[in-house]
Amino acid sequence: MKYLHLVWAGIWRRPGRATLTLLSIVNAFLLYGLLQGFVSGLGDTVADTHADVLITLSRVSQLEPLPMSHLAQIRATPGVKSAAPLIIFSGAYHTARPANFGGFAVDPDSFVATDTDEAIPPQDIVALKRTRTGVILPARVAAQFNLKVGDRMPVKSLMWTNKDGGAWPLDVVGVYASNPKDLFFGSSILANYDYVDQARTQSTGTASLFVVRVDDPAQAGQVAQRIDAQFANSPDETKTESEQQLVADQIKQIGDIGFVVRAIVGAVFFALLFSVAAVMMQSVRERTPELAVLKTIGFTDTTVLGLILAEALVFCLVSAAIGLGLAALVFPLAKTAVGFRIDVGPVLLAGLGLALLLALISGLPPALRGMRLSIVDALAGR
Amino acid sequence: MALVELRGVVKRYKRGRQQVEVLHNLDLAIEAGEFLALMGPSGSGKTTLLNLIGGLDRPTEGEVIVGGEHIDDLSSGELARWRARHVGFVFQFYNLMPTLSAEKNVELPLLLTHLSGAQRQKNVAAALELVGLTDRRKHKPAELSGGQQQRVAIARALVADPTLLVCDEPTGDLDRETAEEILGLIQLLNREQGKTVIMVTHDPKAAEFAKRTLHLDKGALADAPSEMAAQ
Repeated sequence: MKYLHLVWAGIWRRPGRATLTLLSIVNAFLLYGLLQGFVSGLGDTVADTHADVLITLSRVSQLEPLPMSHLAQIRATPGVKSAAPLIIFSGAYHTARPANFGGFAVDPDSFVATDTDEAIPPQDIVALKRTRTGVILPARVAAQFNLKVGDRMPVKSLMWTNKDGGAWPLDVVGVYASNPKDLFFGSSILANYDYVDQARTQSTGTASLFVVRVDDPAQAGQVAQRIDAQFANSPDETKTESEQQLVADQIKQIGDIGFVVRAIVGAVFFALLFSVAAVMMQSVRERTPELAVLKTIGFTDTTVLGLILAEALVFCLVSAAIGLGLAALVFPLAKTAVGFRIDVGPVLLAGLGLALLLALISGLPPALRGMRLSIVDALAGR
Repeated sequence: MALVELRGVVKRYKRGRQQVEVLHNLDLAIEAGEFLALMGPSGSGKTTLLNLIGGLDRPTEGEVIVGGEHIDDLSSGELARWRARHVGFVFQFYNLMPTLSAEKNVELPLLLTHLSGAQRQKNVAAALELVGLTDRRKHKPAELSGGQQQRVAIARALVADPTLLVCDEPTGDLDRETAEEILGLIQLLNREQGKTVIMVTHDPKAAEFAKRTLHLDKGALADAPSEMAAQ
């Protein structure tokens, strides 16, 4: 600690250069924190899916509906605890600033039987059953559109046309706490299956997908195979996947995000490594006479090595902490924007580890130069 | 017994492919409490001799004994610790840390000791008072005159209470009046505190402050050690 002022003075010997270098490191770690946080959030989302939930979709396309007659066969499949039909009911609300949201039309009773999170209050389910045009909103959507129980919410469905030709006039019967861990139901509006199915102009008597809850999560794979085997070679073949696989597949549709992020961060840090190392080397070269004086006074080679390494460490760690701190401030906003939580701790720890590595790699060559410095040559300006 | 003793010291440097012998079989004894001026033309080996005595360099041949210790036998780390304990250095261009205040510059040698922060502060204050710079302790070198910077350098050289004060052209960058002030201060340290001072200088007037003057020419002592020119 007694050398700290010496280390700090060495860092700020040239304030302009130090500030610019600090900003470039802050920027790199802010980028790292945000991108890595995003990837980490995606990973957590996949990991947080339910092991005992399967999703049955059409083998042809996720947009191809399946007949409701499948439901009884799925429920009768050995290993299936419950199954529920869902119609994808994503839409937009008519406000001055139209915004899209996810949604499903569900059969309240069977939905409750398959909903492992039990995030929807029971009284809201009862209200949905009682109100044919009812809709339960996640808190985020209710807050976004300033809606409360009892309000009328005319929804423009992105997929289904109402037989009346206009928007779907839904009545808010409940608001539930959004669950950012649940990609499907955590932030989706829930309407009545019967109402949507009967009032739509096409595909009546079908479901977009079936949510299946199994008795034993360990047997989920076999149960999925059994379900698909029943509909093999039929006009409506199915593809049953675990919720986890489905979420992972949906994320993969965007691309290999992990690889893209690693490539970007890798390129940024590769460039940063050289620039920080060059600045450190230049700084030590400029201070050759000062380092020689320290050695003259009695600082050992090892102490000089330690001082220069400490400079690199303090500088990189402080800069990284600022960058990661800024990223941590942005995470809550990112959570609102992307709809899933970001576990900040591991990202920050990994970031600090990276800063440590950056400091050691960029600081070691100048530190070795300082250590090997010949006092006589340095004082003579050679 | 002499405080500093050089026996058969030879120093050769490599310059390109050639080896240049800077000091030739040099013998020298400096008593404790002496104020010795080393004079001679450029390239005569004055600074090389000073570097050997101060433990900044090693002889190619021969022995350098200071305070009874063969410093030419010490490892690099041991030599650094030995310098910290026994030698104070004053340079022509002050060689202060530009980013540190006067008191932080003076404190540098004490960082290598086990003294507490409070004790270090006390010693620094005493050293700055000795050189008359108490009121300038918070100033950085760029805010001080050349003479004041050299005083800070002297305070830094003294603060760890070394036996030996090694000065390489300490007034070479100062005007006559300031130079005399600095030399007077060094002389005072020699007389009042008993510091052994070895000073390299080109300036005969500066050498007049020393008790003894030796002339180096082409790597050899021009005056025999016995021919003391006591002040």
